[in-house]
Amino acid sequence: MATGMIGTRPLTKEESELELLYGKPVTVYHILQSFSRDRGVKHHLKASHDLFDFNFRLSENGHPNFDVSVKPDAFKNGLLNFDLEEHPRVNYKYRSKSRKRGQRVGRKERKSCKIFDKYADVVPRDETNELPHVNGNNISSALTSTHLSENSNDIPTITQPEIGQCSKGTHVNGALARTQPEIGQCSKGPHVNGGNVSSALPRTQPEIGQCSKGPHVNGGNVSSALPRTHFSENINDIQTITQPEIGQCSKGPHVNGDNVSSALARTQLPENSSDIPTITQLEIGQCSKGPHVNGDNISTSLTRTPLSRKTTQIQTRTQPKRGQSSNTKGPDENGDNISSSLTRTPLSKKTTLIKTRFQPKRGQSSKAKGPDVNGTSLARTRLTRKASHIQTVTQPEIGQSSKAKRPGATRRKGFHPQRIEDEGTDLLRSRQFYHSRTLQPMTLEEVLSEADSDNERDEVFQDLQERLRLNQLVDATDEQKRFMSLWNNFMRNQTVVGDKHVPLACEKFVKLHAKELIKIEMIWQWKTFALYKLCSYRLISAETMDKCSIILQNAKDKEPAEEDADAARAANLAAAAAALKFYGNGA
Amino acid sequence: MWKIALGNEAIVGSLTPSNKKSYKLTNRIQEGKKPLYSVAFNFIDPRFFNCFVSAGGNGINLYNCLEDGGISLLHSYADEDKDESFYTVSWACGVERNPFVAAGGVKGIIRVIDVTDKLIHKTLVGHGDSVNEIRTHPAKPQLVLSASKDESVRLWNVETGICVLIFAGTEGHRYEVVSVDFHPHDECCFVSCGMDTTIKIWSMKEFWTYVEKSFTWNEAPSNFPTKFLQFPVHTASVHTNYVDCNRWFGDFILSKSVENEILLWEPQMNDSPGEGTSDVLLRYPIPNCNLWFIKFSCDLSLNYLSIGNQKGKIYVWDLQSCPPVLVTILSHNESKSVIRQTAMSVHGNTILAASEDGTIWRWDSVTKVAESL
Repeated sequence: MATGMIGTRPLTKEESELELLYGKPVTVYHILQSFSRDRGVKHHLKASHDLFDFNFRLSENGHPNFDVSVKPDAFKNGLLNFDLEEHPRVNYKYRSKSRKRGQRVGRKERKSCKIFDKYADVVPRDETNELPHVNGNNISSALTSTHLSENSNDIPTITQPEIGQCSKGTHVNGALARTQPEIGQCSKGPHVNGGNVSSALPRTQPEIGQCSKGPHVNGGNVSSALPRTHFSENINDIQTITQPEIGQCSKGPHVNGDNVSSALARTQLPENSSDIPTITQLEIGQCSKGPHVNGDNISTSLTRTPLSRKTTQIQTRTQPKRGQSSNTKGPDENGDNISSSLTRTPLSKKTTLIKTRFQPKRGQSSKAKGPDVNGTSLARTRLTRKASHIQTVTQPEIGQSSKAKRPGATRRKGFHPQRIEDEGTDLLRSRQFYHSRTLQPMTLEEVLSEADSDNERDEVFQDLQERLRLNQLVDATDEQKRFMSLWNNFMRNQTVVGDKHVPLACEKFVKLHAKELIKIEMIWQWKTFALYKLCSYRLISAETMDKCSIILQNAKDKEPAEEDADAARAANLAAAAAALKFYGNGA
Repeated sequence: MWKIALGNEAIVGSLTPSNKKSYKLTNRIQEGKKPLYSVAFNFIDPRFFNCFVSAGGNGINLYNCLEDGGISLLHSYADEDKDESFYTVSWACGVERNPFVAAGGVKGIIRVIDVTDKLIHKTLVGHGDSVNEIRTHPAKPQLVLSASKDESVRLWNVETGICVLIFAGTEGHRYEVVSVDFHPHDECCFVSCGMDTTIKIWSMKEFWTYVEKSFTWNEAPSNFPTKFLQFPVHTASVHTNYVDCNRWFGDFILSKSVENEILLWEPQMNDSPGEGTSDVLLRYPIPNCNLWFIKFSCDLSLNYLSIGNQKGKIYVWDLQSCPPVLVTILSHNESKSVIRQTAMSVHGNTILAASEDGTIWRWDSVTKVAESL
């Protein structure tokens, strides 16, 4: 069927092929295409990447947005196991209307751009010790893999493109294997359900493997799909979208049964999503958060937003139906959700026609696994007229990681230094690290601080080692050993590399250990050492000796009067005099 | 007191019980199927002298010993990880004398539970392998030593959750450290023993400032300058096999290996750190006790020592007599499984035994005693 949808352009060759493969009138891809048709998405980047489709659009505020979805055939054979590196480079052609809208024009005709260069969040995360900073607001814009599966049976699996991520799929039921796109991410999504998304950017985590926090994602939830958020009713400014979270269980209250919808259960846009800028991403396998998205929820894919009553401004693709939340909190929502995917929303009343195909009529619960609902996963219908409102435009981020590092990050990614830096540290933020010796958990500041502990020296221990070593000498007296250990430890800390350093080092040494050297026996040690070793090698001269002696003497003077203070001083002086005399000749 | 000339053979105790003090079984509790590895009375706070805690499987239970022989369960805690198996438990307390229970097990993390709040006060992470024993400092009960399978002994401050010192390294243990005990008077000294058959005596004197700093540390625990002590003061090779329990007896050491006996010996410490000689003074034989990880316990004044064996019997020795006198043997025909640890109450009038089949046995002395338990 070349023209499966109303208002769509004729199928391209590719799409026809897909059609053949799937035997469905519409593939997700197709649907996406439809969405991104002339309305403004004309400039959508035709993703020639093997696996992903990109659809670009502009958000309400003029921010570029794009959705990434996995082509249906990516999952044909089960778990996707690919290494992005190996994908053939793609030549992109970027036709954008964005300029018209004052958008930043992306690079044109970019050749060989690598998608998903950075996988900041691909590190498997140890969730047991997670620190708050780790989880994050990683909005993985990541690939929302959408894949429609009509009935869960068909859903091969949705593996998330994210490499390295282990799919934590919560429950792959049946055919759906889920791979998580986001590894280790916990869907922190504020349980996108119902109303909570009021704040912007709900950002549902794409977390893979996340079990939908929904109350009961059971059974067929398998949604490998990324449950995308479901926006609550009043998401007025929902900016982002739920990431296509593969494998996410829909957070829906009870996404059970066939929820598996590989489809992207997209969120349910709140009823008054008048200005919902973005859309819920295709959530594959999302179970609609709808109260009972079950069974057919699977509706494959893109159940984008439920029909909204007033799709007046359906900005994004999945527009939750105005007035209807996709996951509906309302009974009638469901069913729709499934609607096969691409329910992109806005099926407004006017689009009833189309809608019906997939969606259970409004008012009918989607559960209605009514015949119309299932199967059709590819809700073709979605593309309702409303779709026309879709603005599209997301700035394609070529070669950029699709993951927004920060919440609410607009897709307008430039070479912002902060962003680059953040991207660099993403891996560091992704999990809990431990010190290697003490095995204590590290705080984020420590991890990011770039302090290198390889050269750490345990002074106390080394001092001790030296002392032990010297202890083994059998022919040295205790004072000698003590002096040797003092001197050796001192020298280890100093950097004495040249002969000229030695006098300075001597002075420092004497100053440092004055208290100890003043003792009679130690003074003798010092003098012997200085004379017989240092002086005889001409490392120090008489002046140095003199200076040292003066230092010692001063130290001695400062001491509280001792009985032998005078004697000591006298001895000192005598020694100094003797030394001077000795060296007076030789120096 | 001891009429032993050094250099003589150690005196072996006789196995005929004197029955000077006799006990009867007053109660038993079946906790479940998991083996109980540890049971301990609270010797820190007189208000809680009757309370004991038991650890086994992933649960920690607090009980109260009632005067009539009953045992009432006070609290029961379970680790959320079902695979955790607690091997040891010890009482500690915070700076305000609020009692804590510190428990560690196979996961290598130590849970410090605040008994009054019934919450986890701190979780001490850092050991690389399972924790075999936790002991509390007698004078500063916020300090706790943990002996671990990762060959190290760590000193923790349970109030602030900081790992203060780590005793491992060149001269540290070379295999699992199974038991550790603080010196009763010398606050810096402790003894540890392990599967490398050695018993090492350590001193923290040089780093005592760090210990004190740990009480007032208010930054992140991982920033604390944890020091490594690699050299014990003394190493003794008294046994030739795994040593699985050691306790100070004044300045002597009671230690047990898997050779069916407990030895009392005196470490000879020279000035220089390193190996020293040691003199074995007494031997307390215990038949059928050649499994490792069977621990003995004493009462607070070190008058008695009680230990279970793998047949489920309990031997009570009199520590104050020389030659050693066996006080009594406690046995019950239903008590057949290994008794991993015993606990004696403050005056030795109640003996608890934790056994491998998940049972706690309570024996009370029949001689009337004025003081409770």
